[in-house]
Amino acid sequence: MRVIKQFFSTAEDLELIGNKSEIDGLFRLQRRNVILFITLCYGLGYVCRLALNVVKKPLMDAGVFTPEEMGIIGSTMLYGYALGKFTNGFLADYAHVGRFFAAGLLLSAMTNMGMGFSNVVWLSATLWMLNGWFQGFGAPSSVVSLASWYSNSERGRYYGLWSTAHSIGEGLTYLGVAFLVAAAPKGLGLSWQWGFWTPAIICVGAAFLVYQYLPDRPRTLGLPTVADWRQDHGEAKTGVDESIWKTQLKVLTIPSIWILALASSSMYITRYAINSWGNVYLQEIRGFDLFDANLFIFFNTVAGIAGCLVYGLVSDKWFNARRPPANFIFGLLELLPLFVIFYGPKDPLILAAALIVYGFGLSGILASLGGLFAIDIAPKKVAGAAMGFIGIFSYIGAGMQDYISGKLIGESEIAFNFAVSGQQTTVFFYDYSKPIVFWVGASVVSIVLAGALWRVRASE
Amino acid sequence: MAVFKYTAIVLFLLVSACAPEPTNSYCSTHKSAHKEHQMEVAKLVINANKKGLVEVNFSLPSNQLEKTNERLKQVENILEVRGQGSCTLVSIDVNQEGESVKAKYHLDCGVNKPLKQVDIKLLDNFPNIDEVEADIKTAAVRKHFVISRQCKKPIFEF
Repeated sequence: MRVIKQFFSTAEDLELIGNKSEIDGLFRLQRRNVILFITLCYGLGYVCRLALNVVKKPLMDAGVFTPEEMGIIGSTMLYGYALGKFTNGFLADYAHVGRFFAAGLLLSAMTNMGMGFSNVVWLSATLWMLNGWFQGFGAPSSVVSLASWYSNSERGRYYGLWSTAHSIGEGLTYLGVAFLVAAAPKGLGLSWQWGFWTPAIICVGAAFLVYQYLPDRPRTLGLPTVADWRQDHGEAKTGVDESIWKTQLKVLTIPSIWILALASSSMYITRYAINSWGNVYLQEIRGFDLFDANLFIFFNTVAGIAGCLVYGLVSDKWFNARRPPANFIFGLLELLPLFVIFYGPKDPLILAAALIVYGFGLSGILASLGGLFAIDIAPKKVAGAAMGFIGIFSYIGAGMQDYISGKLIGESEIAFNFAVSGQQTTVFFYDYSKPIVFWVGASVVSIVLAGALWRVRASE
Repeated sequence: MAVFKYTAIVLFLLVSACAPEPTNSYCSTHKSAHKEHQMEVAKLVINANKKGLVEVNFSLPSNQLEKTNERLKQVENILEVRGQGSCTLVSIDVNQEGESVKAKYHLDCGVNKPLKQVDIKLLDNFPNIDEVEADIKTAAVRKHFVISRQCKKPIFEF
């Protein structure tokens, strides 16, 4: 146990390097490594998180799982992730993030491998919950790296850049994994199991990269803190001599953090509703095939890359690192297209355009509500804990969404059974009208809550 | 490094041990071939609306009936509808039109009593029917597909 603890712990601070040009050189090198590898590997790790969403319809059609069972399995992952993000957020503040992150990716790969062999609800739910827990190693590690290597006035931009990883990962999943399991000629027509095994292989590769290239904190390398290096301090430098644990607990006493957690939670309901059920909705109700449905979801994720980057720039440059005005703009860009997607014209081009604007707005506001705004508000040395706290709320919301959506969809089920020579072929019909009200309503609540933080500014 | 090496070996062994599922060539090609014999296939159109009314239209070439169309006059030979409440048969209309037989059934399953299950018994009760083209519309969605005796799964997008 001690060996494991020692392996994953952040190293002791080293004496500061005296040579300024050496400091500058090392900072430049490591900052490049940090942003490159947290973005790339977090994106690759995402493939192991979302695989189930792509193969959901094939699993339902094959009668392996009902919508309610799919909802249960999906929600266990999100609960596991919520717990993982929270506890791992606290742990990440003490960890060598490169090793910590790599362990999460490797273990997540193992659970994906197992999912390909399971058609039993409780086993799949357990594996997927563990996957959620292991997936929860990535975001806190990345955020701790961002807080350690980038200062206040530039963090919005780099956070935005890192947030593109969500979209890169989602895009890879919704296009890449869909290509594997979609019927020919659009896809390879492989069985649903490959939808889990391929992501597992990808995550092993990502684990290797992050283990090799993601550095520990600057002080462990003999560098000053990034705020000192860039002469970029916030409003107040509180609790410098306070223990990490005490400062972590202080996060829980900040009212803005609680409101932010609820706003993020509501937005995650919509986010994961579209991620988990969007492609099933497009296949079931709008009649697209698996590949095309995932292609539409892919459009939204690609637009998300631009959304993250533009959000960081807009909030840093136009609003002087104030997040609330940018939150409002991006919130509307997220909400309005939802009405077009679900209640608007049935034209595929309009649907694609609405999904693109939705993805753009969602990624922007999520970058803020899901982390950036929290680490602005919280003391920087406990960025991981602040992120973890927001994360647990967000993913409890997302998990509840998956179960509630699955249940609402399952309740609307009409099974048309065709008895054929002693066997039975079943075609299922579902009604998404109730889940859609739930998904859109959650976005409205989120934007209202985020608006309540209009006057909140960054600390340190 | 050893961990990565052995993980890669295990993954390779697991993946390489799997073989694709066997496929039925008729079913895999029927998506594109169905149009060629579409006119000779039995057709089932069901419209279940929000008010609980279920309209069923069934047509088939008369040579696919064994002798007479008497069996079509019993709705339980065609389908059984199960919902939150019981469904009442409102009307049955069976007619010979040229070389095909057309049957219409109206059922009332009640407002706010959603359907849960519909058992279609055509392929069991009419042995000469090999294939049914179904066009089913519920309050939320419409699906158009083919059910064939030779295929385990329905065929969509033909």
